[in-house]
Amino acid sequence: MDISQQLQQQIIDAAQSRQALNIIGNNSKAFYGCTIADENTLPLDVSEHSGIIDYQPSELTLTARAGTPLRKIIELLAEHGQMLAFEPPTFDGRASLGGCIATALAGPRRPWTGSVRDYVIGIRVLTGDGKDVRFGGKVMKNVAGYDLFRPMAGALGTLGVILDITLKLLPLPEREISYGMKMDAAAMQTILHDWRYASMPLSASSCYNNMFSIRLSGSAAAIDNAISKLPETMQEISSDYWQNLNEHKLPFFDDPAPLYRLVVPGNAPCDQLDGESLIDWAGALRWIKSRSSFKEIQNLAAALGGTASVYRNGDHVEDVFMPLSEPLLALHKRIKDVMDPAGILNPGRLYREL
Amino acid sequence: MQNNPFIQQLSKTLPEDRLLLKQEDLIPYECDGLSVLREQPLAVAIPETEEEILNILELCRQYSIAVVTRGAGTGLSGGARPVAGALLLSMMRFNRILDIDEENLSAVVEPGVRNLAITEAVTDKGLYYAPDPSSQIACSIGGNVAENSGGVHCLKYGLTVHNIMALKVITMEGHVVSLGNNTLEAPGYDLMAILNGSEGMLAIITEVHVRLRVKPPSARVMLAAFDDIEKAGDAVSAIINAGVIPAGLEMMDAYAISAAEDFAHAGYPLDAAAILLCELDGLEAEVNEHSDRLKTLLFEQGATDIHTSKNDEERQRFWAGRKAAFPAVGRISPDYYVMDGTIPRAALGSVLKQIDDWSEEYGLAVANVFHAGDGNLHPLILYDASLPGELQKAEEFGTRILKLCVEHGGTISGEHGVGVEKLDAMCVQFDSDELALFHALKKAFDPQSLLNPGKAVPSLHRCAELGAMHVHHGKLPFPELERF
Repeated sequence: MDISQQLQQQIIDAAQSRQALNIIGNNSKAFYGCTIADENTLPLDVSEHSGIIDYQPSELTLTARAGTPLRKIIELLAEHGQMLAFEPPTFDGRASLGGCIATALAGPRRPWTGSVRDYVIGIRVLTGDGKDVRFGGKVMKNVAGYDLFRPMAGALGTLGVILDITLKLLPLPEREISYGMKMDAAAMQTILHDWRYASMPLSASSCYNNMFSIRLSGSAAAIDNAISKLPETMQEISSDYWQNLNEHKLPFFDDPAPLYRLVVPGNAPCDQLDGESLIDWAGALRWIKSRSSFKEIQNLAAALGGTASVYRNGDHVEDVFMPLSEPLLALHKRIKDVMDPAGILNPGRLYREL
Repeated sequence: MQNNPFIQQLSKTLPEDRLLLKQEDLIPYECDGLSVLREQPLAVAIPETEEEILNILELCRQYSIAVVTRGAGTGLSGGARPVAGALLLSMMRFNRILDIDEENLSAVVEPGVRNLAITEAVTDKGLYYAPDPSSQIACSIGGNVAENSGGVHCLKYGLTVHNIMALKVITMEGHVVSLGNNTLEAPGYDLMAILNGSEGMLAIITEVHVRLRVKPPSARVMLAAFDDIEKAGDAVSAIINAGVIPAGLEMMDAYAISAAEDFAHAGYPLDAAAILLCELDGLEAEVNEHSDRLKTLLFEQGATDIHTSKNDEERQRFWAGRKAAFPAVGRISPDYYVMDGTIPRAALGSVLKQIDDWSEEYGLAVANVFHAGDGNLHPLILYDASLPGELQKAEEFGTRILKLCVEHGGTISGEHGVGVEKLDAMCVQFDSDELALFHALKKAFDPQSLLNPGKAVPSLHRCAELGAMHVHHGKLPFPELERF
């Protein structure tokens, strides 16, 4: 159903009275980001703005409304041998496409296939003053006008209410198989380093509980070749592991302690992690459960050459993402002002100042 | 000139050999790769350090002098064409490779480094930089970012924006800002994406952190001939539909084939109505498997003949014809006008047919050589500027092609940018709300509108006066402006 006009009217009304809005899809990621600053915030429910508008398998593109359940899209694509290459978590099937784009959380495949924004090729949004605008389109290459479609990925709804999204798709790999062996994180880094020039068709690599796991994806010939290069002690494991990791169903995530998310260079040392950790993205994504303050975790991330955020639990009243440099924050404020002049869309959800 | 107080001040910040003021020194900077549009800059400054740029910008702000940044000047849409009275800032002395991080497969380079020089610097490590615009021998990486350049291999490996990890930029206000980092994610808005393709309007790029890739162990090109251009167009969709993403998938029509063959002797079949060049790369076993599959499929789609490169030398030769196609066409026609519209692949056959019909209507020949896998068309409209009215006719023809692309859900520019060339066509693709947001975004980065003013985004009045009165998303484009 297309409820864009209704949403537009709600935004126009809210903008006039400077009424802050909390954009909600299916509310699967309400925990993510900062607590919205304005206590009198009204919900803006986009879940009914739902449905697939256009899907052309031969074009490798799909256009759908923001409220469309992500799982429905993934299932439809699978029927046609295609996928969302950034492998987004579905949060038990509750996630909507709009929330998936707004949070830009990608799954285990991310280091090899790209980020959420890499696959956004067109978007229709309502600005904070209710303008219905489109950027990008339905084609892979498009340099007309400034790129205001990719930055919607990860903006947590602060730059506009996403209505429709066009995504680039990829074919599902012909074959996938997963392997695991006992190994610590440092040894995992060594083995990944050795494989770098070996054309291993990796599509996932993690280390958890001293278990190094990989997934291989590709043509039958490429997989056979890769299997012959694996250490003898590596055993086939169920590919469900990646699903459980992506959906945070592993026992590691069943814990009330603050969960921090660190994105660092893949080869950054693994032995300085504070608290219990789970390493994904071939070393580049590190989940850490820790009682340390976010400030301490930030220092750790910075020392490793990356950034950190508070993901689940912990303090979400203060900023949960790393602070931006002074001139960068100034640019952010001005861009926010361009897209949402009344400052009513998810105020403070990304940063207090936005 | 010497009495100009701005120039006097500028002379104190730069040595004589890096501040060009004389008429004869300015001439080479009058245009970029779009040579029909020329303008003389006030002066050309060639800074070597960040500090020099900051000093220059301070003076420009003080005297309200506009700045046009220029890399190698190979752009095809006039993005680096000088603006009257503006200072031209040449970044070609920023030409050092600062760091190669083999561990993280990335490199930090200055914006004046040539695209191909990056690959050359890492080739002994078995690495390369993937985006390869046809001008890669000459074009600079800073310009690639400014235009979000594509190339032959972006079907599989993405555009410039997908191959950049971080940028260091200087805003017109004189702030040095780092965007992105050495990891897979950076906090905040994705300003790096906004900078890519911003045509020098938002900030001056001083460092580019590029992503490198490991060279695939095997690569092979299939050259498939067709006796009908629509069949070739439909074969493109069939390949993608079969679940194979080729590294590159290019198409040339009979006119382009014959021009390229005369010039580069690539071994193209001269009796074909169209050829497809399809590159597969990866593990040898995988490439074998895919090329067998595609061979069957291409014959099913009506290919009359298929040659697969037997070795790297032959592969390079197949590509040499494609890469030389533009200059080859330049040899047989006094002038040509390159279009850059992009359409959904499924529309390739019908759009090519329409272009062919219009070609007869206008009496202007068209050579088609383009990135078929991306749906990115490059019709070259051949004309002779010395004949009165021919240029106007070519432009009118071109505008119709771009409108056709937008009608098919495509875009007026896939990779060459808008610059000054496609300002009018922008009115076809965007409505007034969207254009107003672009202007506001420009002001967010450059409140005084001093960086490359007047490029890339047309004014609302220009669009209204042009009478681009088509119905866009079901609404009239400029309802708030008076019509007369």
